[in-house]
Amino acid sequence: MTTIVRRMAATLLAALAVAATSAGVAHADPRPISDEEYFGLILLPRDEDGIEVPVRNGDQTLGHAKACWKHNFCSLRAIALTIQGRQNKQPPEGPRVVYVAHAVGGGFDLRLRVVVDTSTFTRRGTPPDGRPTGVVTAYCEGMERCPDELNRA
Amino acid sequence: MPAPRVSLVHLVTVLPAWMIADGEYGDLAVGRAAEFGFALEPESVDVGAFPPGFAQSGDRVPVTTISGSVLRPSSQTPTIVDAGTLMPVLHGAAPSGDGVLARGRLVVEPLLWSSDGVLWPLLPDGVRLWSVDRIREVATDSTDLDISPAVSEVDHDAVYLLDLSRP
Repeated sequence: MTTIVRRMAATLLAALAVAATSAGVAHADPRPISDEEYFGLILLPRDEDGIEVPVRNGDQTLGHAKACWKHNFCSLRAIALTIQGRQNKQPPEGPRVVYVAHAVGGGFDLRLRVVVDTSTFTRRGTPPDGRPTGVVTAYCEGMERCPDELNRA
Repeated sequence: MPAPRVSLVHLVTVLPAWMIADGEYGDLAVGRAAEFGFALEPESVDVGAFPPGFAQSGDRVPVTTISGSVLRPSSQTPTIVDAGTLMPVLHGAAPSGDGVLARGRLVVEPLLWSSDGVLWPLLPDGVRLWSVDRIREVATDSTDLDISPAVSEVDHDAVYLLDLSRP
């Protein structure tokens, strides 16, 4: 798997290098949020099989808000590239699929993991747009919080 | 009047590596009690009238067989099986009958059985307190852990197993 992941490094590195600024948008907020916000679609990248993977705003338990708040994985570009990269998709375990990528940049050398739920069930019921749940969480291997450099790349 | 019967339930469940890395089980340790709800990732499902029950076989990552009636609190939730001592959701299967017999991998399910989620309020018995008797990391060989698997040391190629019991 290391070989596969390293194969992705060049692609992801190049993409991160051209990223304008931090894509971090949604920091988790303790206030209650509406279902509309919770299920709100931020991105809809396709994986190598052409399958759409929703990235929802979510909250502290799911989606971009969770990845950003809990793991400091705020870069939407890095999330999208991890999903889109070739041979990043791991074999599914039930409804959960993990996408893995290797990201190298100024001051960081990371293995990124994005966990996706292909079912339509969440703790708040089913998404109103009829699409799957999508990204559950995203983190950097071996650490609780990703370095800030990932979001500035 | 017959004396009340108390049976001890033992089971082995899978804790996916990403759930540990995600920090959902940071306080997990041998000898400590914890609340768990479960899901079955079925490899086969038979529909019909089956008495409630569960069994496990295999000594590496066990195959779990559950049977019982299907509960459908609403269309907003996945299929739930009342298997007597367990009430797991079925991942990836939607049988149309009133009962099922399903075989597959039993995993801990933190996302759906959450305290603020849709399942627990409807079916509080789906989440119960279990004693963690053993934590095993199964990679090329089996290693017993007597402390929480640390986020920084998670082996993403390994399978983590929890041996649980409940009176």
